[in-house]
Amino acid sequence: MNCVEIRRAADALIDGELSGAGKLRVEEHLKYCAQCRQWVDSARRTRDTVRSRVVKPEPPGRLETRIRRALDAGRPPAQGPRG
Amino acid sequence: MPESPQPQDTRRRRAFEKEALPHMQDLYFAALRLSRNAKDAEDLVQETYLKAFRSFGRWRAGTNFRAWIWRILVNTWVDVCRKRARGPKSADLEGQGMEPEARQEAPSLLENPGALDACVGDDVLRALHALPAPQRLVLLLADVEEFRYRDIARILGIPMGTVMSRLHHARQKMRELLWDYARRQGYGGEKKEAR
Repeated sequence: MNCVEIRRAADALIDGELSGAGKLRVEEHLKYCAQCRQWVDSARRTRDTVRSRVVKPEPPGRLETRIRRALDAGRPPAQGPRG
Repeated sequence: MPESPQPQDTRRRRAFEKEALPHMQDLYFAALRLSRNAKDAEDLVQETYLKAFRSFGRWRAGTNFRAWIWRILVNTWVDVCRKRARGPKSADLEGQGMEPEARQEAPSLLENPGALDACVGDDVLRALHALPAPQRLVLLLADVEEFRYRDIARILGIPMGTVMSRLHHARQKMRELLWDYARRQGYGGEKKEAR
């Protein structure tokens, strides 16, 4: 695998989505390629920055009321299809 | 005079609320990122719940309800965009306009990885909103909601390879944007005019 392929696989590596031979190939490359190691580190930091900085606001209280009212008005058919 | 609900309707309603209401905060957050304003976000979440309730009979207990209702949210948002003839076109949602090859990383960020520490939550939200819709969605699903790639593929109705490609470009763009924000805040010795 060349550096472009390794960098494309970096996201799957840091997300734990690589396994087996694919993972081994990336790890082998990273042992001797400092630039790709830097890339992987940067990808991981970016992901972790997003993860740690995002704060989800509480939805407004009226939203649950709206949803319940909508459900009251829109009862599902007695027997929906299963699929 | 309105009909009284049948016992089976009441059971279905309770079962639905038990499964669905705990996801409201996550869905509302995503709706805010997609709609960009609170009113549209509330409408989107309400419509998502209504559609999910109507098709609750199709969901099989024991399978991934979270991914199921997220798929409904995404599809509802796509429908809203199409109806209003604004926002992302369907081609955009299918990933057109993505760059075919990985671009070179700006060397400055690679050499200053700590720059990301200077970024605050508002920077991340601003950067998220700056991403094209398909990248924003996949980044939300992977990095905020921490879905597995196979679930993201199901939610978006795209192949795993497209999920990976889209995420790759999204994170690359996020890096560039966050690095830019960090520099504007004085990181790396460069301070730009206020935004």
